[in-house]
Amino acid sequence: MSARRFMTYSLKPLFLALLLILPVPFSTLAAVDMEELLPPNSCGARWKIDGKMLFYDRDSLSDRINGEAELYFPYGFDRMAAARYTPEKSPGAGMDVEIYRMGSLLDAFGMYANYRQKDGSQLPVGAESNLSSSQLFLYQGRYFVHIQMTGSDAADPNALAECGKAAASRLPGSASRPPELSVFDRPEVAKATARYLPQSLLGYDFLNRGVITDAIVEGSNLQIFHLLGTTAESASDSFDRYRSQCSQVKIDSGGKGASFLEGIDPLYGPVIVLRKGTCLAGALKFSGKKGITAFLESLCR
Amino acid sequence: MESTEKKGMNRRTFIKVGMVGTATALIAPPAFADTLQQMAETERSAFPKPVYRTLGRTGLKITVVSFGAMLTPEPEVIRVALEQGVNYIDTARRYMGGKNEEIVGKAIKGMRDKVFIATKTRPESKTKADIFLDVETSLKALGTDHIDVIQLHHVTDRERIFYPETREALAQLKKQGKVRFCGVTTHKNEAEVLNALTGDPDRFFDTCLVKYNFKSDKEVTTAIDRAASAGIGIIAMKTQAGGYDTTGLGKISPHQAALKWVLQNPKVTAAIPGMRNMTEYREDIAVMGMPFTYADLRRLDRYAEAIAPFYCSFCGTCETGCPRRVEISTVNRALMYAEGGYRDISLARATYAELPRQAKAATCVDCEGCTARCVNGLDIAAKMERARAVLA
Repeated sequence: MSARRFMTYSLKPLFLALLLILPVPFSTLAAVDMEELLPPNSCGARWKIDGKMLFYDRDSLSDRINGEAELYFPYGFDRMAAARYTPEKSPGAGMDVEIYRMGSLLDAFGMYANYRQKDGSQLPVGAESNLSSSQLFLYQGRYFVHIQMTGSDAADPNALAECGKAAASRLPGSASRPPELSVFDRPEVAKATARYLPQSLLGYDFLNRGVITDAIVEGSNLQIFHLLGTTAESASDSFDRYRSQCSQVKIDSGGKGASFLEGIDPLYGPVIVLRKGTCLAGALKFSGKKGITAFLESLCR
Repeated sequence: MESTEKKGMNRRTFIKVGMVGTATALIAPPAFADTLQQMAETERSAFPKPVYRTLGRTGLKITVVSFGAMLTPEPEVIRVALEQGVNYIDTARRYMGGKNEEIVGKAIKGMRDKVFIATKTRPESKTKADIFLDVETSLKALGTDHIDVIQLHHVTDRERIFYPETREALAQLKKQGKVRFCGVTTHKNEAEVLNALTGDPDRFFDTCLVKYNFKSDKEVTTAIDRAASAGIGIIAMKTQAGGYDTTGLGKISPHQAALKWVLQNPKVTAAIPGMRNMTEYREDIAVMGMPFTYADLRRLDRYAEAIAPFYCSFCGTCETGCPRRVEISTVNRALMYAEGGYRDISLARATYAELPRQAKAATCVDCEGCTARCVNGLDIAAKMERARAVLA
């Protein structure tokens, strides 16, 4: 290929494309970025887009979801794209699809876990999903998706599932769970019960950022919490502050710089907490203590 | 009781208080600042003796500081409040996809007779079928056989208040004993909604949960006054003007002052601040029985003054004076994300990165002097310099 022909056939289209893109403000590109995440024409076979796609940021999210917006901010909410899809033959029915861009994969999981319904079923969509008769929640990468059916046809799980698949297929990011949850990948931990709280774990502001989950240890139902992002100093500080909240406190050395706290939490009753290096983990709401210290040690290993 | 005039401070300024930290001390005369610092420390106390007011014509006597449950992930925190005498909880069908009602349901287990429950239908629910479905689902999630106050969520105009099918559904639910009283919630066009409730010849709705804080317009205060005089129970929400980030505040906390400001109005039956944890709970609940004092007034005033040199309202007026067309308001918003209550540098940089190159603060370095002027006296050149240092 001659140099002239190379310019004509290879570089010219590139220049034209650049010329088309350059005048577009970056903020518009960002909106386009979110717009591309929503299914453009239909979400599932029967459900066609109805009206415009809508976009929200931190300043405007409350215009759509009222004060509930404040739930999203600690999880690094950045932007949301929303659209309504309606079936041709059922006037009044609708499916509202909302895609939230959160701070991280862990944040997206955190929002998902906040909304996950106990009696919902799982679908092979996104990293995890939760389907009930009129709602579908899922997350993938840093995106949390909420699909809500409304109107007289408000119970159509098949349509929800179909729309969820269509939405998830457009999301960037892998369909994997946050690596921070891997500490709970053990048989004692109940499935689909983990929650991530970016602040105020257990309702205490000094227990910042952590995961809490249900478990069964040696036949006893209990809850386990594990702080995230701790340094040895912050773990020690949180341990001391938690100790000051509890009554009937007994501190045992766990060896190698580890400390066990047993006491009565004013909100939860008996608790056992282990601090070991940068790890702070605890158990509460248990009926028997057997096996708990060993389990906590295994978490902090 | 005298109504206090609107303070020169809006939602964003309140959030942005974190940005200035203890800047009050730098701006105010030193002696005054010291005194202010001391008196601005959050007042702590054991659980105060509950203070009750009557919720309009419902006749329910509820604690003036009641519980907004939306942000509370642990039922145990709500439970403590109930055990200490708080007797009104506000939740909603929509919050957490209905899961917030389940949390409240766990908190009230075994104590249903000691607490009034208020929840809300979904904002989009209008038809009979929708309303019935919402209420039945709420009853199940809350684990109760009745809801004390069912509220239409997020009403923004008078039309929805008079929608016949909604009223028929609610009337039927009342007859069945599944709901006791009906209300609405509003945080947009609040005065219009309140006035519509007041003027309703059928007196169908008994309560109004309304956005009300030191930033509210005078017409909202007037509408509240009229509605309360007509027997409508007034509950205030968003009493903190949307902000609750105290990062960098040191000992100064305006939250109690903001809550007291609302409760000083006797036409307001109660406020329902959201309480995430025990610290926020203790701080809010301590307000019961406290008077709104001159010190509180000064506290709110001083905050507004303290943030004035730092705060951009994003009005964009200054941008007309910039020959280079720098998007000053967006640059300031990005800076706010970095240094304000948000403290989110990644969001700040992402916001800044979205600006076209010529609209960024870097463009300012080619200018000999800044000709853009802020109507509130903000030093724009200094802000742009700060943005270049923090966001570039």
